[in-house]
Amino acid sequence: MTSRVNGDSFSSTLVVEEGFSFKMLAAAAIRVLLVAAFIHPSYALYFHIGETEKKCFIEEIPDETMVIGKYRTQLWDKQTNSYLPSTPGLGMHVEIKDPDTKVILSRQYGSDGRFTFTSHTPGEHKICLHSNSTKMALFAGGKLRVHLDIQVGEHTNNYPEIAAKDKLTELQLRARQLLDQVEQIQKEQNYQRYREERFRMTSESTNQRVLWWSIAQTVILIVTGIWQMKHLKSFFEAKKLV
Amino acid sequence: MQQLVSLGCLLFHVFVVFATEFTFELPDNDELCFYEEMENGDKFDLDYQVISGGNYDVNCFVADANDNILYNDEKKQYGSFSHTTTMKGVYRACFSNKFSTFSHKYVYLDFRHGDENLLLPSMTRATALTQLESTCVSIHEILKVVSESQTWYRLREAHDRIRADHIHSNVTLWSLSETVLLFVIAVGQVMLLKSFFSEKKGPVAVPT
Repeated sequence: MTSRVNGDSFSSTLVVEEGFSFKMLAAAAIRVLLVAAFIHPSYALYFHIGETEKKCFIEEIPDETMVIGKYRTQLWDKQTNSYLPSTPGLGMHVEIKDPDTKVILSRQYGSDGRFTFTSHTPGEHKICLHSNSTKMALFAGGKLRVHLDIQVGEHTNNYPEIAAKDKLTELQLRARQLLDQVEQIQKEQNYQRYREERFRMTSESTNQRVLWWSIAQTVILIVTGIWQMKHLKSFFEAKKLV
Repeated sequence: MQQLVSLGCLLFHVFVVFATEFTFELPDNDELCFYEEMENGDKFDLDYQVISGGNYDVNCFVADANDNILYNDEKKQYGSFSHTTTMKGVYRACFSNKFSTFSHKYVYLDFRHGDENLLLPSMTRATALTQLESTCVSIHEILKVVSESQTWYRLREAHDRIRADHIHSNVTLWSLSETVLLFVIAVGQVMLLKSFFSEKKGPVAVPT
């Protein structure tokens, strides 16, 4: 659906062109500056997070799928009553757990961060973020704005970079994109088969448990009834009421 | 010169494009908002679905920069909203679970904003596509539909799977607690009955 264009991919495609003379380098540098001036990387979707709050996002993905997450943080400034563009010293702790709740990544990043992981088991991966500021005084305002962008599967591919690295023509690149899409669909189908199997096992296990419980309950009821009657009979006989 | 022209083309064809999908937890009695800064004339799509929790419903509203409500739906299990912006500013999509006192919900969100980006910056839409290229484009669009359909089925399956897991763990819990309850009631009944027939001295616990 989307491969985001940002300043980095521009500079890589531009530098591939002819020669490496100083003039070319200077021209390339000017181009990069012009381009960077027009485009600012804005990982748009953002939300607010409190000081000790932990926000978790779940991505349900098949195995061998790459996930790239990028975040940018902004701190509320009481003096200007707005969010500062960037705050050094602010950090976010990123923790990623795999479907077996085993931690696959647990790292501290700065105020802008980029984390990548590839899933080895299919299932629900949990990405948790919480702020971990090095200077506690910064957090007087209490509100932190976090811009987040999570890309999964074939959306992680940087096509201009791939075209430059493998020297592909436009048509070859289009074919490559289709290939990546189809691969992802195939992985998702395998994952679906795996999920259906687990779902069936869970249902059969529940069915077994219910069956055994019904039998056990009947037996317990009968045994308890018999015990009750026997006990009361002997009690009444002892009391000479029967 | 050619490079300057291509740079010019680049600059005019840059769309700030964004798409993300994830599942987040919405605690009980809580509201969570996602904000996005958008230009005038931007098109965005929002899809959400409640995967698990309570009655599988959530309140959702989308507001523009001037706090006009563009979309408001109460207690829906899934919803979809498309809009082309008429003003520049920060738009927000808020999910509320305030009506629920103890069930936290898991909500899937898919947010797409902007046109699809070009594969390569040099692929301007100015020149007509060859037949091969247009075939590639149609296959790409169809594969996107396939992928979306897979996502839909995956969400439905997640919904059912979570419910089945709950039933599975609950069955064990219920059967154990019922066993305990059965024994307690059986012994209790016998004790109570015996106490009715005890001597006037008062209820005496008769050893069984």
